[in-house]
Amino acid sequence: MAKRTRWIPLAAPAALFAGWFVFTATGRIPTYQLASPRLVWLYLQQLAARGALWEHLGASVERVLIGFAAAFAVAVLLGTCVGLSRRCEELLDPTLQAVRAVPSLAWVPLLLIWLGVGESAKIVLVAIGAFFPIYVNLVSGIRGVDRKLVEVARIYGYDGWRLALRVVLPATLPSLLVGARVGLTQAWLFLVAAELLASTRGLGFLLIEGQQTSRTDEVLAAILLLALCGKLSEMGMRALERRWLRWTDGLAT
Amino acid sequence: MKGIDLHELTVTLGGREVLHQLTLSVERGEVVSVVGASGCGKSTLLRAIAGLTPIAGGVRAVQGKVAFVFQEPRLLPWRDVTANVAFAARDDEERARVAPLLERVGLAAATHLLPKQLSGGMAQRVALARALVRQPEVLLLDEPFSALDALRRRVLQDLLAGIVADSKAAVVFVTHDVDEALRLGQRVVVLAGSPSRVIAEVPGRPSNRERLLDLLSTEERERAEAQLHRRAV
Repeated sequence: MAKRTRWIPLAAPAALFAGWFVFTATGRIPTYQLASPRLVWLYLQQLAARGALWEHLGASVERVLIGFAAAFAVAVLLGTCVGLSRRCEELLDPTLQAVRAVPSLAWVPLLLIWLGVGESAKIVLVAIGAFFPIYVNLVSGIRGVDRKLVEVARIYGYDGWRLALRVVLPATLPSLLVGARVGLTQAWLFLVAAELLASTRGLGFLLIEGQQTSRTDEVLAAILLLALCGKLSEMGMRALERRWLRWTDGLAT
Repeated sequence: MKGIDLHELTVTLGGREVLHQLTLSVERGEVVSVVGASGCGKSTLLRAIAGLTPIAGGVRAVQGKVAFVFQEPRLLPWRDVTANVAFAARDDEERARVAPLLERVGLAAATHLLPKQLSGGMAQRVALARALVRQPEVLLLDEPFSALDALRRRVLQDLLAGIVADSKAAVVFVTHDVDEALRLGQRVVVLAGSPSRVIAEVPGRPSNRERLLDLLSTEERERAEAQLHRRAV
């Protein structure tokens, strides 16, 4: 059963690709509006040949990884404090919720003024994007920890940090991983926003360069690379979830 | 030696008095069963003894290590059987008891299973083993077998009887099953009323079955009548 249905997820991309191929091959759509798959492939080869492919890809991946890692660290720290302590919640949560309500691109002008057009502004924007899904999921995960398990732990003398490390955080892991998965997707989203606005390398830069020079092959190549990166991050996160959440008793397992 | 000594214990939950001036003592090595209608405060009594629920008045003296077996197994789902039992261990000496205890409760072959792979009876055996790791002086059991079928229940009752006979702990066993109460308890305490107090205490002999059922059913009838009366008014 599982074997026979494995092609199903591939059907839609295959159909899309076939349509793209047919429309561009028949010349019904001019190249300056939609480049053919062959042209995109040639462009990618050319990019790789001059070593620019790895430079752009590497720049983007680096920004995403650094921004995501920073967001993860801060979100775990703040989320744990807010989730575990009423006082921390009163102190921090209203502010964080207010910040969350700001459309994230609204930070761009401020970030550019403060940090210039260098790497740090882009990384901070990526981090802002990745932070909230992780934070929100972690806090609600901690809130949702089974009170009954906490009671058992208290009976056997667990409190404070031991209670947090041995019971609360493991119980929160499913929510934390969901938050991290969504956060990583957001990181890619914000990366493109940052690179579209001000950059000299990266996949977002290819997009904007392609637009300005009317090179649809360049734009499409960048889009394909972004799709690939997004899919790979998603697959990586899901693999982690499968590995660490074998104990959960949900439908998926 | 006293394990549990409650004197005129009063507990309020959300402003309502649940237990009123309840006096009860349990010696170490003694098993006291507590029966009563559901919602009469049996669980609250155990939680108060364990310190999970604060007391509003009276004296609560509990000596030694306390262990609690809940109605549900309450195992950590991300830990296997061994690690769940070892969760209650504080040092190497206690950790060394984990394997023999698992053997004793009949789980020597299931040590590496996760809680989701266990049946209800197996999971409750794990909970029982976890409670025994510290060799508690006070063992509190809150309807631990109520979710099991009659056969499994019987097997676990026998297992528990053997364990508590060896353990020298003061045991309070809460149940709504009269036969179970008489089988396991040397004394059976009947809780009733709102707020609840001890209305009777009988020795744990099978011959007291009718008497216990009478006490409980009279209480149940009175409660139902009082409710009808309240509704009529």
